[in-house]
Amino acid sequence: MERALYVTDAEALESLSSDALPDRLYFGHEFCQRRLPSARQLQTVYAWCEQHRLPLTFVTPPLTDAGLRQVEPLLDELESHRAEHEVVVGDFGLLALLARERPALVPVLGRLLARQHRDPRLARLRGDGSLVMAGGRLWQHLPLPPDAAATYRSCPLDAPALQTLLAELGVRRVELDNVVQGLDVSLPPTLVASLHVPWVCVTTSRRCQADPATAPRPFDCLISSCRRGCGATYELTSPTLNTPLFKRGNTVFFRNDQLPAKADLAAARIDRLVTTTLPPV
Amino acid sequence: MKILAPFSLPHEVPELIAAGATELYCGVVPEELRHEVGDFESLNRRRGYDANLWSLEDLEHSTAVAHAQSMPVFVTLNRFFSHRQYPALLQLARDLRAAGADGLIVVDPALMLALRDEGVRFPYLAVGTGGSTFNASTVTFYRTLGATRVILSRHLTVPEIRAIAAEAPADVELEVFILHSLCPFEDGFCSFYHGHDPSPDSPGPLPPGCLPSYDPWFEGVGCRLRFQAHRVGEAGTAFGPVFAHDRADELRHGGADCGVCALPELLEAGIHSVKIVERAFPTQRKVSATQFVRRALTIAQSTPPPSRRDFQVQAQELYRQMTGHPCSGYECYYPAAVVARGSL
Repeated sequence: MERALYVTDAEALESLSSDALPDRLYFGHEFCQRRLPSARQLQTVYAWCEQHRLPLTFVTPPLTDAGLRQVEPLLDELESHRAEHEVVVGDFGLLALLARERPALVPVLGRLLARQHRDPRLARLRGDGSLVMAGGRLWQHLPLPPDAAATYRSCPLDAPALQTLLAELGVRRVELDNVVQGLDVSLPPTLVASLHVPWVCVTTSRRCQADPATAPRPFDCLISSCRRGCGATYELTSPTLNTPLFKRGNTVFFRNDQLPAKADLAAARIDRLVTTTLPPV
Repeated sequence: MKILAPFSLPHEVPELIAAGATELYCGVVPEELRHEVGDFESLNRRRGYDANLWSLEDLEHSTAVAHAQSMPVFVTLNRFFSHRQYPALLQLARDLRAAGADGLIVVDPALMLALRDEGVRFPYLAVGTGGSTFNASTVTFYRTLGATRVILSRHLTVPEIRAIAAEAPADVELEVFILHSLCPFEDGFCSFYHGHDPSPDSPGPLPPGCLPSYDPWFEGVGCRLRFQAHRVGEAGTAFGPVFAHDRADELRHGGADCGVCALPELLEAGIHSVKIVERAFPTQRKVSATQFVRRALTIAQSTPPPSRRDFQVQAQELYRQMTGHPCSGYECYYPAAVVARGSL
């Protein structure tokens, strides 16, 4: 099992101990194009990877047309090196461009495009027929029909036609979240998967109010009016939610430290764990 | 520019046409499917009778009325699926076509490929906002999968929309949201689930007064929950209640999410159609919403065209008449396009 470390900030590398290095480094941002690094930052990270003989995976967010132009010099920078670099994509537009114009780069389908069911409340859709009190009423907590339960453990990546299309676009790896209901994604021999731990992305936004304590102003909720307030992490709790949510920047996560069993990892063709200490925003 | 309006009951079709709709869409969950799997969010992210037609006969009746006015009807299957669901989905798609549906609204590329490979063809194939389209290259990508229309992300600005329209293939129609349901999170990347009710044929017998449920604790969609919050690593910073995204929702005061002020710029950008959302709203609210957008579009297309400020002043007055509230700004789809804030 390959172990990758995912950092969103080049400065995070300074505190890494050389005797606890990962097998691979992920660098970039999955959720916000305003957090794309500069070419200089990417150069710094690449130099660090070379120094420690680590392969680099560059992570990109969903991109507007302006964002696509902004990412071009970063892709140029990656292509200027002889090594084969992975690029995690968050939208099909960039994936198509990489396939068409950047054959030297290796596209990886990002977890936003895996479209898994990632609400932590899905853990409780495992009723056993027992009677429970909730909201002052008596309920029988039914198990989901087996077919419905199976669909919640899977995602569109199990479709052979999509797998073929991804292969045509040069995708050999997909990124997955460690969802609480379990994984049952049938990947073909042409694909392997990475699993992100421990932070599972529930949802993200381009109408960003990074600080939930602050009342947004009218007409001022767009990512384009960014005030860079995404350094802090907020824990959100609800009496009826089975696990806290964590909001960082424009994205909401929950934490799942429970790794699937080895057999389940193998069955899902997961050969890489991608870890972060903080929610990767 | 077309106005795409939602319906969930057949009798709404003529009312929406009279109100100014030029295209219609709905969800359909036939009774047989509901009995088989329960009332799930799994076909189109909306549950229940209030959001969906519950029979193909209702769809057939609705399309007949719409077609008599040369009006296309789209049916939404805007969910991501597992391939296990394809046999039922493809059969449903064939049934929808036979019942007169002119187009599907889908978001799952795998479903688009399956429809193509199985020869299930519609005059229109629209990629919904859940397809996460932020750039022209993505429009081109969906075109290769058979899309005739792409509905852009809710969270794009007008300049970003204009940039897509300038570069996207001319034979793909572009659509944007104009009214209701300004989701705080990006539709295609949001996996807050929307709850489940069991099938009417759930196992029983249940004790008197006991209700069946797959999730007795379901308290609502995640973006609508109220949370207590604290800043991690800082004791004594608890606050709340807040929503998971921001505090804008509690600052709203009964208005409707709206992007009508941007209509002139959307027209200039060449946007083909604007979408009114909320299939589950009461009939009268859908009708008044359609009238509002129609009136505003008529003003925007008048000759000579009004100035941007004059248009927005008139549009905001129409908004006030429709909702009974002035525009607060918190409900705005395209805030950067608004120049007439002084009139609020």
